Amino acid sequence: MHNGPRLGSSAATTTVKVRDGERLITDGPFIEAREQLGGIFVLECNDLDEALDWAARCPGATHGVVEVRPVWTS
Amino acid sequence: MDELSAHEALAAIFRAEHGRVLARLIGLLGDFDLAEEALADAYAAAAHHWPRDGVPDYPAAWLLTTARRRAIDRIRRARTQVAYLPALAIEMRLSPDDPESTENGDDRLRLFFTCCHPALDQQTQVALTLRCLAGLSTADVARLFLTSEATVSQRIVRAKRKIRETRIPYRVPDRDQLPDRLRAVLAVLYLMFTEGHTATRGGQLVRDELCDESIRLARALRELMPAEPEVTALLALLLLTDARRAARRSATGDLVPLAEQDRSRYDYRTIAEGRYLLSQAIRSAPVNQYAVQAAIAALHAEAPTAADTDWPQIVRLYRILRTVAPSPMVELNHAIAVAEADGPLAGIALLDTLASEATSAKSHLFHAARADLLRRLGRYAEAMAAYDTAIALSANDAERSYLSRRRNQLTEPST
Repeated sequence: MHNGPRLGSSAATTTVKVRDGERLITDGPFIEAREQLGGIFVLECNDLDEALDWAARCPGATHGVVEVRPVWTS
Repeated sequence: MDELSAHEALAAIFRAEHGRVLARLIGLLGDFDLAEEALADAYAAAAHHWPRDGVPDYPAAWLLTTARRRAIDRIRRARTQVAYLPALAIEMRLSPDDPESTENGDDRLRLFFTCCHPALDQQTQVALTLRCLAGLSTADVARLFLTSEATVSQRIVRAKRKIRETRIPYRVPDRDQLPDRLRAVLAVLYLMFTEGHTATRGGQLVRDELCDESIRLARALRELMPAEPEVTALLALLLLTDARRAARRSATGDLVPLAEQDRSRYDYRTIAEGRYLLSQAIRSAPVNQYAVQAAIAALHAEAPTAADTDWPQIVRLYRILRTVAPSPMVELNHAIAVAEADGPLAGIALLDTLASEATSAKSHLFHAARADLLRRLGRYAEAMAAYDTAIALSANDAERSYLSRRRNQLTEPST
């Protein structure tokens, strides 16, 4: 196995998307059965703002959405 | 001092100092939860000591010192818990010879941005802001929004967990993020005020405390960010709207529409302050939505009689607002202003173009405006139906009874 981080709860999730250059941030996960998970990135960030910044820069954020969750640390 | 008034005095001090002391504590501790718990401890200590020993000369400093000591106690007790690993660093920052300043405007400003962080939903932002910056209890917040204390407290617990788990920062956002994030803070204060100005539910038309709190917070924010035109404009808007509060309801608590308000009951000192702030806010381009709305409110507040209202100017301002901050509410208000400036037929024509939108169809204000214009055109049957729809959609008792009265007047030929 290469890796498998355990994610924080869905309550700790924030969703980011970018439309017309505008950043839209919402509380909670993105639940839409028809959508598919495109991939994951694991980043080391100091705080949520930094993570949201990276999420908004992800190309997928302009047409899909990016969910930001903390990785579980014991 | 008897016990009851001592408690009232304490409650007043707690409320006045809460935002300041909590913000400073979070700044010192770097931990939202710990700061709240320590401050709660300090309140408990104050409630015990102050009635006996008298209120200290500097209550905020006393609360801060006590809360800091309690925080250190809590950290020591929790030393074995991994969650408090950064505790040592905190304890060093809290060394007793730290200068004892309770006022650090930057801390309060940071707290505004943490409470109104976009990763929290807006209802939560409102609740947190009222709790942390205005110092309202969970029970007060619940009462103001007509929800249960359990709901509010669950919301706040969940928010604090999210702040901790996802590390929502406690800082003023960077320049490039500031406009966006400031907009979220202003939206919270605006929402708080509008909910107070016309409660969406319940028996009361106005929730005075909510109006007062939002203005108090907007004032605090302006002190912290005097150079931000949007902040100044928002405060101007709140004051210019609030100045009409007393005239908006009759002695029996009924809604009095703008055209029938006794303008001698407007608060002219507040209007003057709002006007001054507005003149400050519009000095800088580009014009922001709160400044345009404040300008509209000023035209209403300053017209000596309803008939003297400068409706053509209001129509022009709504046109600007349509481009600056388009929304179904702006469209509706624009149509109403056009009806006043150019006659009800022109207003109806605009409303009909909005009717297909779901937001308009579900808004009691849309149907109430339509009913009013139909009434003025003498189309009573259609007006009656529109009043019925508006009454069915409104959840505020005072609004409903006003609309019912209007509807029932339709059968009398003189109206």
